[in-house]
Amino acid sequence: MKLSVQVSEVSKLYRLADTQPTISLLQALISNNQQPKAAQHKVAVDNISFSIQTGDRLGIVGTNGAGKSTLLQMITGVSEPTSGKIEVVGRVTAVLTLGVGLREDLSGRENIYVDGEVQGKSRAEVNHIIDKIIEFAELGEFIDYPVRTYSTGMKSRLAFSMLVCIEPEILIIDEALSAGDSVFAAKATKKIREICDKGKIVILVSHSMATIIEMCDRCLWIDKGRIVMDGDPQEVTSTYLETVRKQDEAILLEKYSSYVKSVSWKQGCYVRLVEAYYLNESEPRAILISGQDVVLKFRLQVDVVLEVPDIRLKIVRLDGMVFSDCLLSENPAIQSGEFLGSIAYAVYMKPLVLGKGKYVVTCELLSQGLAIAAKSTILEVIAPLNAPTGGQPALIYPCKVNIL
Amino acid sequence: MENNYSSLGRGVAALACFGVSKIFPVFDSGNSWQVLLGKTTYSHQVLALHDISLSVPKGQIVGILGRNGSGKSTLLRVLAGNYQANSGRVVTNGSLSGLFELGGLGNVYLKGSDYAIRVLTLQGAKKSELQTLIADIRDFSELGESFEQSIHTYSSGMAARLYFATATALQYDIYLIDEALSVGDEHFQNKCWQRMRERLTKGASGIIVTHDWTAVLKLCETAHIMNKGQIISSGISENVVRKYLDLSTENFLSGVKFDPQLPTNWTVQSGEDTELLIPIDVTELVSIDFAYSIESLVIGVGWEAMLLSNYYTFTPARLGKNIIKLNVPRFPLAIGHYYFAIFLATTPKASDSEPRRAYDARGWTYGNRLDLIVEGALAKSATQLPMEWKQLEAIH
Repeated sequence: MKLSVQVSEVSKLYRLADTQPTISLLQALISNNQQPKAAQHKVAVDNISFSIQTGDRLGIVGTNGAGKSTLLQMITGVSEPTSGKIEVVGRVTAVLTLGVGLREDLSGRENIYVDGEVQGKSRAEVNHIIDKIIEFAELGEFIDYPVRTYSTGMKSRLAFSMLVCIEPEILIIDEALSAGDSVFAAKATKKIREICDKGKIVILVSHSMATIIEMCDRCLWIDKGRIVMDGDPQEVTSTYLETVRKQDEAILLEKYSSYVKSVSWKQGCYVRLVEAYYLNESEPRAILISGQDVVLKFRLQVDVVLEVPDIRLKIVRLDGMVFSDCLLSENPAIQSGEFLGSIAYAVYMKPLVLGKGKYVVTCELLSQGLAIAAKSTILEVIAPLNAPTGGQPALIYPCKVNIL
Repeated sequence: MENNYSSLGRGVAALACFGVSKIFPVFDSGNSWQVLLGKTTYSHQVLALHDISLSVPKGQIVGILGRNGSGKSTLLRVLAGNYQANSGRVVTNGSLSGLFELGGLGNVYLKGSDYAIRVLTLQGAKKSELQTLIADIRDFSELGESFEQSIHTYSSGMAARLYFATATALQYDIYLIDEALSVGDEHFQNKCWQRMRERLTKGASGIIVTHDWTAVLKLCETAHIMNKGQIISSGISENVVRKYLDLSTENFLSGVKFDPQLPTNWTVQSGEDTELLIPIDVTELVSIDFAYSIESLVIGVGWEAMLLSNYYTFTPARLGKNIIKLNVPRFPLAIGHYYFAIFLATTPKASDSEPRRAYDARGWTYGNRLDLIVEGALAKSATQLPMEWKQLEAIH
């Protein structure tokens, strides 16, 4: 059978509750205002159209509140579009919120039968796959105990196993891959990949760009209810990331504003600027990708003659680990010119090897070894797409491996 | 159980339990009336804890690792006195604070501030201190105005921040922590770690229950593994984590192995270009994936993967002895003792969803660790980053 999802000019409006408090029943009755006030609406999905066919694996990205979940709900049939049409050929199975459909008083096994009926399977059909589900969920003897005796992790394992073992034709997943512990999460990811490979339709909403690139062959970027971009996952996600980066940087600087500060202990001595750039770019960044060539720039203002002046650069991760603490004078190659007026230095890091994390970068102006002015800023380093998968190293350091 | 009792001998235990078992009866639905009337007819029982004995020495945090449903949260509640054990004995030696889901009170319709006041009052805080403590909780939790709003309006992260701040506001002798340090963003996690360390240096003890083994390495000298309500392994954290990870060396494929003459001690110079030669024995000409890691591990203080590689793929040119050459330019780590780990695995095909299978591995997680000593001058920082200073034209 040819599976498909056809979304044509679909919009969804939510009516917002009146901000005016309800007066009283009496007032409402005697009020001669027959005309209801023009209701306020929120447009959650705004005229979206796309179609997918058998074998398509569609990823959807977008910030919180972009309308992704509303769109999925309409495709699943949980809610109706306000206007437009959605045509679905095939059985839709959705992992929107794990564990919502479980009946607390029934045992795990009974829940599987109930869910099978909901999915339109006969008892015989469920009998056929139930062992597979139970084995996948790894619940042991708990499968015959009521669901209310389960821990949260066990519930999500059961719910996930029920869904994926029912051989979905159109599988919709909303950020649910992190169910259970890491052993189970790996198993879940593998299972979803198998479903993809069977040529069914998969729609995946995720905040993990790596997951989208790995699992999908097409990607939609939705913002404020509209499709901003539609195409190759690699292309869409990188454009999307670039756009959200600016918003993220603003949030980062705002949130960690206590680390962004400037002090001076001596009149006429200031550290004016501490900024990070990608090499050959002119726009300062607060979020950098590890592995890129990066330059830190400092500008200082020195209006008095200093004895034994020096500059210190400190890079400290938020948990207190010191990644760098070095002095200008430790670089004999540099003829430090006159330390008066406006002076500027650059520190090239080719490449930036810091691992994922947030760092405080501080530039201090020293005289005879003592700091007389300082400025610090916050820098977030994110891992590149090809980062090591086995964990989060402190440094992403380029080494060479050969076989002799 | 030898470990548990022997650790009791070392100084005074802050917290100990002996032969604790906990049984939960499972009632069939519709039996609530029968329960009320005292006719307890349950169809079966769950043995949530079975003969648990352990002790927490003063000034230490003991880790308990286990997968979902292994009974670790139940154990914590029994130790805290929230649940009554069916048999066995719990001995606590000092004041105790528990960090559980839902903050232990479970009433989400309280205001944040009221929740804090209630917990502190229950814990016996003096009226005169209350004002300062509440201000501290409000400050530490960073809830701002939400502190005066009902908890059910909080996001899970906000609630977790409130619970942590409240549970650790007073200096207790014993802390029971259930996964709590893994909440919130990086900034808040750091604050949590800092506060726990602070409390520890003041002589507090505790238990942390988690499936995050890195937290156990960072905080605990000793640890236990729980499975199906029993403690199945105990000992120093490094060994226990190794068992928890269960990376057995039995299922290694044949074809490529590290040479038996591979040295177990390596010495490198900090800041120098470094070449590490790793001999391997090839009995089948297959494509190999190689990866390495260098970890800094001080049990109970810190664990961090300093360097970690992706898989490098290559095919050996000949059977027999081959050498993998690992070049680390300007070795970036400060002087000290590190653990070195190396792996050989199959190369998965692009179309293949099968995971990589290991040929051979050396590392502490496999019980055959390699030590890496970095020598050189004392440094001010843990790492040396590639840097090049330049003076710029000043802009006026």
